[in-house]
Amino acid sequence: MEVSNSRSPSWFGIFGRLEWSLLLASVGLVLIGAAFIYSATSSRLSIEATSWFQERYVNQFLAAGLGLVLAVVISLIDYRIIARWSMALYWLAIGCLLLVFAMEPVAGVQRWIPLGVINFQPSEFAKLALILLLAHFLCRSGLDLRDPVVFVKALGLMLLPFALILIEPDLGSAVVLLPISFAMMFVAGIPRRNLLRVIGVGALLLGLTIVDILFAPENLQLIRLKDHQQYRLRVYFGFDGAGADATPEERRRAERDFRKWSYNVDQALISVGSGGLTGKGWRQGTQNVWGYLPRGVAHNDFIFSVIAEEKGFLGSLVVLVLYGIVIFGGIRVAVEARDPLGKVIAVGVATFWFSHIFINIGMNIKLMPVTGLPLPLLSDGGSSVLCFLLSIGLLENIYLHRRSY
Amino acid sequence: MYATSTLEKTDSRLRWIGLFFALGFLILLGGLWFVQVVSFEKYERFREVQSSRTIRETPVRGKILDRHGVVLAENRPVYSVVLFMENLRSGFQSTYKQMRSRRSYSRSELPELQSLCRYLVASNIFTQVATVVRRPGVLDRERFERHYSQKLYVPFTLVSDLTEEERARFVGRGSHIPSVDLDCQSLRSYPQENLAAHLLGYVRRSDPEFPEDGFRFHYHQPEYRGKKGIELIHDQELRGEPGIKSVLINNLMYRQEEHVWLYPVPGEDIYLTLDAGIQRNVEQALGRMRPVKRSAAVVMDVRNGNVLAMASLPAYDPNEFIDRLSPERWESLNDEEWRPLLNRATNAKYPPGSIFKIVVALAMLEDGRFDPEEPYLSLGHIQLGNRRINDTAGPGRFDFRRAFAKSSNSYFIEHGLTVGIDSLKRWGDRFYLGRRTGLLPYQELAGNYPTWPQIREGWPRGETANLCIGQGRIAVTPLQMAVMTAAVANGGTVYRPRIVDRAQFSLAVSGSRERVFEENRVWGRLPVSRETIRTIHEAMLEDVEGLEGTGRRAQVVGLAIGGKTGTAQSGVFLDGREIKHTWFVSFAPVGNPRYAVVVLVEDGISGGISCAPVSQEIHRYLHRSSLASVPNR
Repeated sequence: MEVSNSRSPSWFGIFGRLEWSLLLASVGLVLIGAAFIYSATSSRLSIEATSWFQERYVNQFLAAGLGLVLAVVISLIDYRIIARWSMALYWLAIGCLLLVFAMEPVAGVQRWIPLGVINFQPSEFAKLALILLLAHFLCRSGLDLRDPVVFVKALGLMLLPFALILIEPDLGSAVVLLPISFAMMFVAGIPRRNLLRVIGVGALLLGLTIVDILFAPENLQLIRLKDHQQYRLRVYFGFDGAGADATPEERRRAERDFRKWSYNVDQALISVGSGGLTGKGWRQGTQNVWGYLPRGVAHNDFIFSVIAEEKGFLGSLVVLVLYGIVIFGGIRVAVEARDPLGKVIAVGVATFWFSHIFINIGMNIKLMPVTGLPLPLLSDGGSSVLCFLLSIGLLENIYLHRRSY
Repeated sequence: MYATSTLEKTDSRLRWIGLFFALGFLILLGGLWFVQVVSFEKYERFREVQSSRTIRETPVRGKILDRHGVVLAENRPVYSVVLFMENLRSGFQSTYKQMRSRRSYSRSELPELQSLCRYLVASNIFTQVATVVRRPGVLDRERFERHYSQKLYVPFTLVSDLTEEERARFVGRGSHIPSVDLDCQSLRSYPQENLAAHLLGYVRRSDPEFPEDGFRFHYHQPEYRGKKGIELIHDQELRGEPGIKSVLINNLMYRQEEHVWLYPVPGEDIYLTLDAGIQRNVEQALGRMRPVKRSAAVVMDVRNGNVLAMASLPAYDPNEFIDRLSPERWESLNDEEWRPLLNRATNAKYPPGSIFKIVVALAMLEDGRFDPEEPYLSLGHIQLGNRRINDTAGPGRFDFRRAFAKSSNSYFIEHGLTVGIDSLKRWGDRFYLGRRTGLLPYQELAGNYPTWPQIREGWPRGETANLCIGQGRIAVTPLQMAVMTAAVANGGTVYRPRIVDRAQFSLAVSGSRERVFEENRVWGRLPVSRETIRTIHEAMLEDVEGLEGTGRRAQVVGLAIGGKTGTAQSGVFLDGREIKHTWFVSFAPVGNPRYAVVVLVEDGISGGISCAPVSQEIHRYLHRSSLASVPNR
């Protein structure tokens, strides 16, 4: 892109200097998302007629519009200025995460703060705040970075929101913080040795935990997961939880529960698989329209199944290509960034996207266990759309200010 | 990936991150390729299994008609009002919402509330329908719930079996009721009611539990299977081919779409050789007997073995079997004494008595040593060792004709013993006595006749004497006697009896095709001279027309009938007297034989008194109708 190489930093040149591919890919994703949210919700049988502004796809457009405006605003303020405020943003996010616990639980979980028209989900913003703060914190000399104390402090910055989100509970969002943080630390220059040690110990602990959760009798479990989390893990590992000495009655019940919990995943897999190469056509997917794909999740967590069923492998490919543009665009922004701060933020954002995409799509094809992670810009949900568009704004910001020494 | 080119100059760690992302994308791409392209068929099959239900559509059963096309069994349309469940979903939901907002319910109460709401909505519509057709009632909640949970994808029957007026009311005033429609199914019906009931058989509702042809259906429309008679024997032809359709359903089992894979092919119509007019006359003639008797009659065309009428009394109405029979009715149908379900024309065996003298006469006349003119002096009884056999013909001089007409036991025993058991056995075999004709499988007895092993084991003269007068080790069915009479009448050709003429398949669009069942099935030819036949014909004529004939009551003015009476001891005693089974076999006209008529009456007085009048009525009808109409084929 020749325009982007222009060196004159002028306000008039701003449109020429934007990373257009990022923006266009994002807008494309928003449009696709709205179209399939419409497909997933329009077949729903509703008694009272919903006004057009109450429709989910309209809300999605509104959130996206707001997100784009905010992204433009954010991209104009030099990211170094934003980074200076990152500590405040971080504590604001932590405050919101704490506030969540004062709220009425919705379906047994406390993830949202109702703000009149919309439900605000602080965990999404906490991810962005953590990216900014961690980048700000990690931008120091190589000598400093080798200091284990700095490393431990960085880990601590991550673990605070991690723990808070984990007990909401929102396992998915909490887990996403790990790859984001480690990728940023890795790029910032934390010694490989330290990182590997922590990751190794973490992986070991995780493995033991999973074994403990899946196989240990209830009274011996060190970590008590919520029932639905436990079942999701069991479904993922294909283990119904009945021990070898289970009575037939227990075994039957275990099997029934297993089937109940694996229903979503199985239906998602059937949706994706039966889409074939070219799909059944927009609003023609029987899994979606006839309600086999549970209507409660089709428009958010499992929106990819709807797309894959109705547009087939080619549709999935288009979605992956758009995501590729964003993620590798993010890496390009990191490469072009003028300082480590920009580079680390860009990597953080790219990893943020990648984790969501990999876990969500992976869950639709049973490659990953089920978590409530939204698919960037496609899943229905205002907070998440807003956040992902803000993160695009951050990338544009770094790109715009890459040469203005 | 234009980013990688510039990576080298900056940071190897960024390159690692880039590679990691690329690997992740490749994994997703590979996974999607595997699920969507490689395993497409597997998941498509899963989807189909969970969202489609196959339904078996019952074809229209073929009709059964007589030789002139008179309908004996057909299908009548049965109308019912059905409810399309998928149209009620919003109704269910809004009622549920309303009810729920009235007070708070605990979680465990909700399913019950939902079920109640469904019932309220359906029962509301039911009441509207019931009011319109004026058949008040209450919707059976259990039936409705069962349908809802198991067969939601097929319409629910609200009111079944509408009468003509109810249907008119519904069509006129029921159009405003939502989600209901008129549904039509065909139900077997026998418009002639009792007529030829035993021959036609009946159908009963049967929903096959096991899949046929390895194909599993989720739902069967009601289906009827032949259980007896022609309905059973030709069930294959009558039944037709079922249609297959699949209903695509959503996750709640409501119907979304329908797909017809195979249209049902209607069954073939079966045309019988039976003549409904003759049949009716025969049944009426038997039914006029007082007191009412268990009886049977067969009318056969002697020229080809076609059965024109076959009756058995008491009879029943096959229409009764369509619906569920009450236990009392079932019991009365199985009454030990009357056994209305029994087809006495084929499925019961009786000693033939004197009518068997026709066979004995053939053996005598063809023996060579026998002279029909030679007089025989009878004492009125015959002494065999220390056994004395009485003779209703009384003492006196008998030649063959007089002996036949008066049915002299002494004469026939005397000459029969001369002919011998071997010859009698051979002659009986020529009429296939002791064997089934195969006319009505599952509904036919073979009867008894001496077998060669029995004869070789040592056959007492007394048994031969019994056989000569149609008693002892012999039992026959009326149908067998019809075959015999027809063979004697037509000059010696034994025809295998035939009841089904043709199966005809007709569709409005593709025209019709017909399949004629083998005609003129010659079963055997009797080695008899014209002389013998003439002698027997004359003797049989004498039995009806002669002054001393036992069958005089069968006379029809203007028609030469040849006949033979029989009164057989059954060996069964009732109130101290022995029950006699009485026979009259006959054919007409003697010069140009056409019809053989066999009448059997259980517990009759004598062949001449009980059976000959019935035969007379039948012959009179046959005579009149053959004068009136073109000859039958």
